Amino acid sequence: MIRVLVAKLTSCSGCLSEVIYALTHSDIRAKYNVTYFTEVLDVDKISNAELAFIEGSITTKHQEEFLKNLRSQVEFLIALGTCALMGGVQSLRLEGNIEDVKKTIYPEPRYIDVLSEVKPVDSVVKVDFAIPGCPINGDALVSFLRKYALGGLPVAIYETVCSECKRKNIPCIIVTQKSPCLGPITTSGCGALCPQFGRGCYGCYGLKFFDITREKINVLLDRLVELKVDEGDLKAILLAYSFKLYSKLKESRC
Amino acid sequence: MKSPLTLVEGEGSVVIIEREGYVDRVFYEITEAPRFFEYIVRGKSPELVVDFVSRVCGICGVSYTFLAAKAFEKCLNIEVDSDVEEFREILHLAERVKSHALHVFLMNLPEITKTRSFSELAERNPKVVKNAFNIISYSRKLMRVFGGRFHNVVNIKIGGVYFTPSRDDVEKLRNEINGIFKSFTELADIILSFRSSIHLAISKPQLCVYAEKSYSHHGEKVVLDNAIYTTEAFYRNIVSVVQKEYSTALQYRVKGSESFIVGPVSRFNRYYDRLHSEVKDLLNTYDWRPPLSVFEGYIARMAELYDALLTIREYLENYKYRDIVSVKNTVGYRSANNVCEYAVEAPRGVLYHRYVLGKDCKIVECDIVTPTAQNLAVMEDIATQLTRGKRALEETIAIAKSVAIAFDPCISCSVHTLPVKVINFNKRS
Repeated sequence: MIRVLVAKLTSCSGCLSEVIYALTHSDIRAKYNVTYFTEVLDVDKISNAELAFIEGSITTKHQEEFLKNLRSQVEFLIALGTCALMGGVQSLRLEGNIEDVKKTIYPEPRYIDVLSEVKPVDSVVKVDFAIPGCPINGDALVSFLRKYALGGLPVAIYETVCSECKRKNIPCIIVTQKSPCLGPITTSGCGALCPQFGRGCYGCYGLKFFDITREKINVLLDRLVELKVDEGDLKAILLAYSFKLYSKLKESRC
Repeated sequence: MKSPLTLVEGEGSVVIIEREGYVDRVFYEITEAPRFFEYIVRGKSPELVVDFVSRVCGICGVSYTFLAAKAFEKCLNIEVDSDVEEFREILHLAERVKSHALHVFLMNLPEITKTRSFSELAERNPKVVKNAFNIISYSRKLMRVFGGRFHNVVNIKIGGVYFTPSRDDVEKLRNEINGIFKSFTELADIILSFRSSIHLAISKPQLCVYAEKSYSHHGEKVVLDNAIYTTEAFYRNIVSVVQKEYSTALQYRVKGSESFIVGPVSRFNRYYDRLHSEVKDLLNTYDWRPPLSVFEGYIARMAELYDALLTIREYLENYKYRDIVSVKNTVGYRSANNVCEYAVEAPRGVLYHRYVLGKDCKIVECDIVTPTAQNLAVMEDIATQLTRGKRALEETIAIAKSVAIAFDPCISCSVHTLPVKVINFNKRS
């Protein structure tokens, strides 16, 4: 059986619930032995394993050390979800200085020991595979686990949410409803969930990481602002779910 | 002595302060990194915040989103149709099923049976796995049909919902639910037969959302034992945030000294009479009735799980698809009152949000009081009560861990908890 570690950093445990969902499949349980997962196992120390799933971003020194130690004990590390890949909604606190942020909320800010940055997993350790989403799509995880057990990996897909709408014959939200939608610049994987429910995509799977420039983002944002969307809100959403990419593209010279 | 907590959501450790080898005090060090939600919502529109706050908790996201939507509807004077309200309540009850199922079957059950994990338990009794996963999978289907997905549902907005499911989707759920009741009854036979080895009558005050006619669910008032307060009065005047002399963890205490309990046990003990008769009959079969202690929280969760499934079945059987009218566009509403607050019974207890809107209708201030943060004081008090004077050994740590698991803390939510510094009592002058 393939030994697996499941670890959580700065996050909400939503992606871990998808891991639990994957483990409800008997064929997955037959092939994988989870040896560390504090939410459901009474084990508090990590040991050597083949696979590790990491949820969450890094915001403390302790987490940084923990992750580096974990990386040295596994062969293949998978980052799960928007927090691990991009930083997560907590990245919005980077709009302010960390000392001011702490003072705003806590009466004794000196006791809060956090880094000034919010780091995605790949800025601390090497990541072998990534599954996007907020939360990730549990079926994508099941598909990964089945293929990995057979010795393969899923084929990488370079599409946006628009492709998923087209496949499902969902009329374009922007065109037919004049509602804002970030689908054209958002990574696919959710199955066009929000458009299916009659609302525009808000980009929780993160910005597409291929064929993207600041100009291309701005073309869409300008169009959405014409539909009376608040520009500050748009930028907040992009920072919240795509901090790692959007913060770089915002500053880029292209 | 310190030991990491397991079989709970989020990161924490139990810390024992010793005096000459005997326990003096227990407290819970929360190592979960803070995410500063009350800061990040500032300057954002209410519409965004409704989706953002779902990210506070991976198990009870609907509680946050539903609560935020209600709070903003109240202060923006937006009226929601009763059909829409009922729909959202069903989605919220689906989350209660999800959360209680995850906790009782994956965290409580191994702890009760003294196995290290659900897998080990499954080896002893494979049927338990099948039944537990049936219920968890069904809760996932419920949440997909009513909310879009298992977590971070996409179907709640200020003014209502985006989408109502088709008759076909509802029919599939209806056809499956009787099988789920069968799984539940088989699991109940095992779980309701357990008696906790820790006997402790509750002498602490219990808090839950006040309900006029139904079981405690959501509202603008809370009830602490027999005293009813508005949420504003309770959280601004009655409760104070206390900083302990040797600990840097913030805790909530009534009038600065008394800790109180929120959660399924509080709700069950107060509103037992409002549960469906099938629930009470089932509990009577196994000789369970109020008052329950916190160590019998698994009984309250099973009762609520059953009750929620019964309510959901009634809804599915009477479901008439209609294009539910939600308020289409909430941009342009101006607040009558710039303070938006409300309370919802999240699976783990009373959740309270308070937002202050600026002139541009964006958030300027936010306060989120989570059930776990409210329970931290009483968790420590009870753990200390049970262990003080005992030798500081592994067994003592095990008792302190059992207290944590009994309360089903959701540590990721605890936005107001601080990391704790340990002070060796012997070094204090």
